Amino acid sequence: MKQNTALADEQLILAIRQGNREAFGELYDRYYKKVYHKCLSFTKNQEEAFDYAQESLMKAFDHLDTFRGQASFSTWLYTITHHHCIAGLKKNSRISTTALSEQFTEDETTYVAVASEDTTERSEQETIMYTLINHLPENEKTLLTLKYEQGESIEILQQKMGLNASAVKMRLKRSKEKLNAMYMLALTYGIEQVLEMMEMF
Amino acid sequence: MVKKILFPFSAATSSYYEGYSWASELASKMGTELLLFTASKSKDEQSLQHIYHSLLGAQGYYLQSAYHKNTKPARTERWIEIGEVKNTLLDFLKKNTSYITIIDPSLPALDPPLLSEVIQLSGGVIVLPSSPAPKVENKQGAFYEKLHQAEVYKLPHHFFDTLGSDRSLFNYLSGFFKKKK
Repeated sequence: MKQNTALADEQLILAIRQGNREAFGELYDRYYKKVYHKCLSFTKNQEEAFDYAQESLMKAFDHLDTFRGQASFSTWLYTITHHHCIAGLKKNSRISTTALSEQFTEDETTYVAVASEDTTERSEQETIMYTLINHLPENEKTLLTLKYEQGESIEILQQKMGLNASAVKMRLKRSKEKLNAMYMLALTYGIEQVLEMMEMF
Repeated sequence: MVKKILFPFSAATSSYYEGYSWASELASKMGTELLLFTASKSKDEQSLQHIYHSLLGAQGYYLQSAYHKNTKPARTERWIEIGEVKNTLLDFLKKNTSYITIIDPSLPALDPPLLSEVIQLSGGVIVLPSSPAPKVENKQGAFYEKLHQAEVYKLPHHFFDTLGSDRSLFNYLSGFFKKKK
């Protein structure tokens, strides 16, 4: 075990894939308290935070083989935790669909920032997100940039895009959902693979 | 009817992790719920946090030493009382008699008179051995070796029926018989 403490997360993951159970313990021990506190920041309830933390850790460690190392392990783990908590609270009606939507729509980088408190990781996450935005079809990229980077209102977007309000909102919603999905895929499979996929469609 | 599993523990140290893993595995095999019972001097935020951290640590130990690759854990509930584990445990068992209680050797001050009372109040009792985990390569084998070494009291017939349907047990036993040939 002592040998493992000096290893980086990614080295531990390699060791785990080779069947090293002690490496599994070391990696788990590094993060379980942090995952718990992340869950607690959502639930404000220790009992519930414990359930979400346990489930998030299980989910992540059960799917370690899908971790491609494009983002850091902590980024990947916190993103899984973040999504698990949101999904759980939504299921228990603790977050309304509108509130959830607002959390993701006010600024996509907020979503990125919530997944990690570490500046390095945030920067890494932002890089992935901006790379994805830059590879969106031009009309989607323009729409998202106008709305979230330049803060344009729906009315202005209507005029610029020549669409009615509901069409603008629908396109924004679809673009954001697509971006979120691509982001999750990028964290799991790597940005290059996702960019290849985006070019195919 | 499958009874629920009760696992009393003290979060003061991590010495209950081994017993926790075994109880989790048992609950998983029996398809029943595991009630994790402990007591604390108070239920302030810090005390509760210490207990939940400790339980997550125990869960990590279980996953690390998992008896099988499929790590789907048993459903758990937590029951936290204020006071000492041994006294609150007896009070709990007086009101809830249908549990199979797993007694871990790390449980503080479980002297013979107290153990008799736990046995009397429980729907069944398994006292885990204080010796270290058996050196068995096969994890399923380790689980059943531990059961073999444990002291069992009042276990209902269906307990063995349920465990008897565990396919991994069959695989373990058949492997054992192959070795004997």
